[in-house]
Amino acid sequence: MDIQLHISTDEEVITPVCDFTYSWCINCGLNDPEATRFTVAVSELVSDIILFAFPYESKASFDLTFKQTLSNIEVVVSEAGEPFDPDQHRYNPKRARKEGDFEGAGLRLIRRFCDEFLFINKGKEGKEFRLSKRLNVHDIDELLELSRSKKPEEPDSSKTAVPEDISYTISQITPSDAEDIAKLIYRTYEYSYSKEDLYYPKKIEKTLLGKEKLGVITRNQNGMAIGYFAVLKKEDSNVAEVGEAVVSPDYRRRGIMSSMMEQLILTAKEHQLDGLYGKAVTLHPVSQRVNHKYNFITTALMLAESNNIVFKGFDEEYPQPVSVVIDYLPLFETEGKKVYLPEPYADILLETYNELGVSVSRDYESSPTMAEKSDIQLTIDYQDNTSLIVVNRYGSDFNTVLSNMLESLQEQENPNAVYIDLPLENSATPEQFDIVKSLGFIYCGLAPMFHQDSDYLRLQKINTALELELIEIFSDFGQKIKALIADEYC
Amino acid sequence: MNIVNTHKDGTTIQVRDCKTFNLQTKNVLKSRLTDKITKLYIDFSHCKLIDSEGIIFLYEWQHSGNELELKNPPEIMFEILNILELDDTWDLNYFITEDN
Repeated sequence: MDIQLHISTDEEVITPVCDFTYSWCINCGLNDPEATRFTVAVSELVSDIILFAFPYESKASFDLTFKQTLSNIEVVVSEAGEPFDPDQHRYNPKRARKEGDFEGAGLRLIRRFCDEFLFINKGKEGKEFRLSKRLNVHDIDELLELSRSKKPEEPDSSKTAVPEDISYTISQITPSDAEDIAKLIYRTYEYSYSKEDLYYPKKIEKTLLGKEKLGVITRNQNGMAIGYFAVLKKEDSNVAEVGEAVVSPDYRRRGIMSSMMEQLILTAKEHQLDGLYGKAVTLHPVSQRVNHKYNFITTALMLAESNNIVFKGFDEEYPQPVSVVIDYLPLFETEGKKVYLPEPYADILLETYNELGVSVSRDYESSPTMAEKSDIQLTIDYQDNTSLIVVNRYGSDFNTVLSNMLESLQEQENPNAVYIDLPLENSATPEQFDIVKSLGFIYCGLAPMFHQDSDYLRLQKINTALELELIEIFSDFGQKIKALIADEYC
Repeated sequence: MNIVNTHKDGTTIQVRDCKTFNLQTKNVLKSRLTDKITKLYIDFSHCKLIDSEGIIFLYEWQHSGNELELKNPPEIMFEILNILELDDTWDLNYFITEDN
């Protein structure tokens, strides 16, 4: 969950902001010295903005967004004050000692007290500063490793007689199921499951209480949890990601996973979700095959979406960042919505809609209405070294803002992949698309209902060498998307 | 609210119960300084946070010929002095109490 603060450029805000930042850091898992360092970094940045960003305005305001993932925390500070370039304000200790000129001291502390300090110039839209810190997952890894070494051996399911008649019940998960879910994950995967949150009952409970997660749990006749399947709701749209699925080894091949998936789809419909989607890895076709069994359709191929991972069952490390497909399942029929498709991708997008069974009518406006200013949001995934840019509105400054943002991003972070989502229900998209293409983006696919309950065209800019032959796609239509991307990538 | 609790004693200003030392603290303190004040005594026993605004203010205060005495300065202060490469040129007058 993101936390946003909108604050005025008044020095009285510094202490409360720092108090909040420190508490937030501790809650996110930083220890006291690290929380203090990160808070000093935030204090430095907030002070600099109050002192220097708005020299001719007695009262202005700026925004802070606090973001947390399992492995990382990030504070994004956005302001629209005077242009600024951090590289021009380097601290010089000799000058400080001899002349008492401490310019750049705060920036030096920010750089030292964060793992990443990123400055994004958004042109007329202002500036963004991103301060991030990795959470110390090594300690957790070590604990997990230690615990694994002490753990008694799991019974080999292939040698265990599978009970002939199993009666089980499937019900919607509630916060009180959290501990059973964590135990089930542990019993099934030991500590090799990729989503570490699921080893922490309190974290599961938190997402269930926050209604971010929707899922089902299967119990045997003794009430023991034997299966779990859940989706995570997207924050900015009414769709959810199919993300977590497990069946205890002793109870596999009994149709439990299928029953849960069917129940989950029903539950999602009851909650009036517009659709479900899954990101399926492409180093093997297994997950894609499961998705397609339940009528999910491949709509996009995201190259280099996650860093190289050692997957259990693979002899060697996969030699390149892992690409994923987006598989989407619409849950309700939609009335023909009006979409504005860029000409070069009109055919493939219409075909994708056709595969999904979603009726659309293609429209075109020769003089589309533009917003006064562009509204573009950037999200950085530090762990996977990717970024996602979501365009909410186009303004006359779109080219400058996007170019500046990309330049800042590439210079400082050089992500493996940058994805950009363009709103297909915005009449300016066909015209503005040329700007995005000119910046080196290629096709990725359709991101149905991904933001603001509307469809987006996802494009991608890949900054790392990939062997596309290693990417396995299950469906014929997915193959078609891959062929188009391969054509542009080469 | 960052309340700065000060007490004037002749030529000394004592800062008590300082919880955080930042831009606001610095400005409040500066507003209470007069030409007659030549010494600052700051009790950092309850202070977790000091940033460059606070540290530079104290550095300039001492390096302009005034006296400075600190009680229980926080660990982060020494770390910042090291990062800003001021630790070897600043003879900091401080003491740590046993109960801290």
